[in-house]
Amino acid sequence: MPRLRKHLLVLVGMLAVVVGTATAPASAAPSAPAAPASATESTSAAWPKVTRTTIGSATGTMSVAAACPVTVYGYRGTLLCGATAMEIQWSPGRLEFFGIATDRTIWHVWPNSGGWKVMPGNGHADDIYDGWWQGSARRVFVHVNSNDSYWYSDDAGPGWNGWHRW
Amino acid sequence: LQALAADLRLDANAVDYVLLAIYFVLVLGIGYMARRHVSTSMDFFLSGRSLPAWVTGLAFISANLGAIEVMGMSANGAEYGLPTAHYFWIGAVPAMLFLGIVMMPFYYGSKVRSVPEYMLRRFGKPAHLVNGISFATAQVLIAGANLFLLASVVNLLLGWPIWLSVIVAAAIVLSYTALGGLSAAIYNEVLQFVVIVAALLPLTIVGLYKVGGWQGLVDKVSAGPGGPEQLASWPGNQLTGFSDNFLSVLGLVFGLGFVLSFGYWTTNFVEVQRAMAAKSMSAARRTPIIGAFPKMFIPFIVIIPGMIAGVAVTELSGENKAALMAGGDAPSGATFNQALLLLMRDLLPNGMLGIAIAGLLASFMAGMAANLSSFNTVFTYDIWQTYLRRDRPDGYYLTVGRVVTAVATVFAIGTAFIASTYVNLMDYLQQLFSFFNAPLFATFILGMFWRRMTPTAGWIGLVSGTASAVAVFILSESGVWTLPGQGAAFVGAGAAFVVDIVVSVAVTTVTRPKPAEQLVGLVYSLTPKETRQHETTGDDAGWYRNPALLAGIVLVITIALNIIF
Repeated sequence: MPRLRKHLLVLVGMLAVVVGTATAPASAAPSAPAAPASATESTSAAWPKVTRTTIGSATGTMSVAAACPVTVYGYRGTLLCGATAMEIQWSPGRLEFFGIATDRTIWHVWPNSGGWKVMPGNGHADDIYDGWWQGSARRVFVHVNSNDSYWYSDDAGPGWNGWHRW
Repeated sequence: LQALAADLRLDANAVDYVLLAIYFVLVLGIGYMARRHVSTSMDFFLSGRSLPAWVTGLAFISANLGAIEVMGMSANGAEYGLPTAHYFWIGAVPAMLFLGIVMMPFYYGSKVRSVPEYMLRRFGKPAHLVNGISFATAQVLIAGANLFLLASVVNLLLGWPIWLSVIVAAAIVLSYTALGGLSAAIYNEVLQFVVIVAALLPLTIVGLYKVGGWQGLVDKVSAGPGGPEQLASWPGNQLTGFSDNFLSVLGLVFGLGFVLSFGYWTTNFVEVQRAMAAKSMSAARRTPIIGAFPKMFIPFIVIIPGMIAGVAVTELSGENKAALMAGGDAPSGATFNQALLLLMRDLLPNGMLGIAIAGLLASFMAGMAANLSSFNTVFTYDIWQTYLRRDRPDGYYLTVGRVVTAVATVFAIGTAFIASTYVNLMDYLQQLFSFFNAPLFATFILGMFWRRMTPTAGWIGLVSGTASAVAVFILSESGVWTLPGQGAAFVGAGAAFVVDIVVSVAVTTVTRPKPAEQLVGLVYSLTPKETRQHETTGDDAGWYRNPALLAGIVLVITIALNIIF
């Protein structure tokens, strides 16, 4: 019950701070043949559990790089409005949130992290696409709209290892 | 699952089988040699109180290093990481020191032959009977669990049928315990300790090498499903199931570190019997303290291989570990209980494999032999001699002891098949300890330090404490009170302890205590101070044999380990 309550609080918090929250599609990616197989909005027994969120537009006129303020796990940040962000529960109680900043850099945050951190590797993308366990490594996918490409980064221990094209 | 079983099959060759054969010849040889020194029931049940402290100390720790300990703690290491070390640094060492320094003078000094016999002399027959019967029953059940684990491992590793493995293993353990009694069990436990370390140490070293050393393990565990909190022993939220840090620490210190741990280590005759076999009071007091030295470092060869398996074994890492942590089935079909076996499969070459298999078998047999040798003593002295056949010649009880060992082995074979129906034996046994050991410790500690405590309070307190632990268990199982991890056992143990104390105090105020002259040597205030002082002459001379000094050294190292990790 405490865990369920915690998850509900996080979800409610996210919904409250993201202005104009929209319902995420079942799969955020176009069905290009090269796309990595995406997890569904996971309620299945498989891990990790993935929850997608489309960052809402800021009040006022929507610009190309409109900034939407968000607060996740108590840490305030600014993400790109309209981009897909994602909360990944890697294992019971182990949460991590990934999002795209207005300059298209990729950021993540987790409970007690001290704040938002930019993902290593100087990556730029338009949406967070998916995440899963690749063997014993965490793997996160992002999507780049301009050339419809998918990129991933792994953390098998020493840290996130930069971005690699799928 | 059949595919996984096939994957687990080890490619043992002639070298491995020769090493195994040598080990079994040594085991049986020790039983045969010990037989020549058995001429009285005291020789058979308590080794004639003649063994040196280093032998009883290693046996003390080896008796606990059974199948459930080795496999269970490796599984816990894979699931919870370093917080599992609490079972050693908080959940064992302090209680072992307390046993050696505070309680052993009462056990050894009063010349009782078993822990239930202490209950008889302190509280009378009702408490004695409750303790004797529950202990004997528990030992047969636990011996069966050890036997089943042994058989299932042999079945997985070598492909022998379960029934054949059960019977062969039972026959070997029966042979040496029935021949040589406690001496055979104890000397074999010393050998088994060496073999277990010889098996697990190389596995740990090779495993660490594979994951890139200690830093590699730290990095991989941090990135894995458990996250960085699996690398610090405190506050151990995943282990206790409490998300609040304060409650988690309280559960560990009071539930595991005080009640469960002190209950197990200070009142469990399987352990105390090893100290009772020592040749002097000083040696008896040093037994658990000497055992505490290796106990502090066993996490490094049991838990760390489990942690390595949790990041390096495909079937247990990543999504598999996450699913298992959530209480579901891993996509691979593996379980944490297989952590050590899977790691052996992945890492060890032939030769080392033979030693590793011998090490596992040694741990299973050490555990089972300890169960049998404590069972036959309690059954013969505390049940048969006290209530059924009194005043027979000593040789009669020696024969009864041997026959009972054989009968218990047959029962253990039966209970091995009962044990096979349980999914998680470690959780099951922790629960049993909360039922029986926690209230027993409350009764003991009150009875040893409060001379006014009455015999009626002794047995009513025990029954009330057990009932309250069972009530917590039912609340947890029925979902009324959600306590994940092993929190239910910790809370149950705490409840049993508190209720036992409260009820015992209440009942004591309205019932009649025993006369003081019947309590000499059984309670603190009526026991001569000299019995608790270190002997400075003969075999016990020398500062390095001083129990208090040795205990102080252990305590300092344990505190340092808790700070470092």
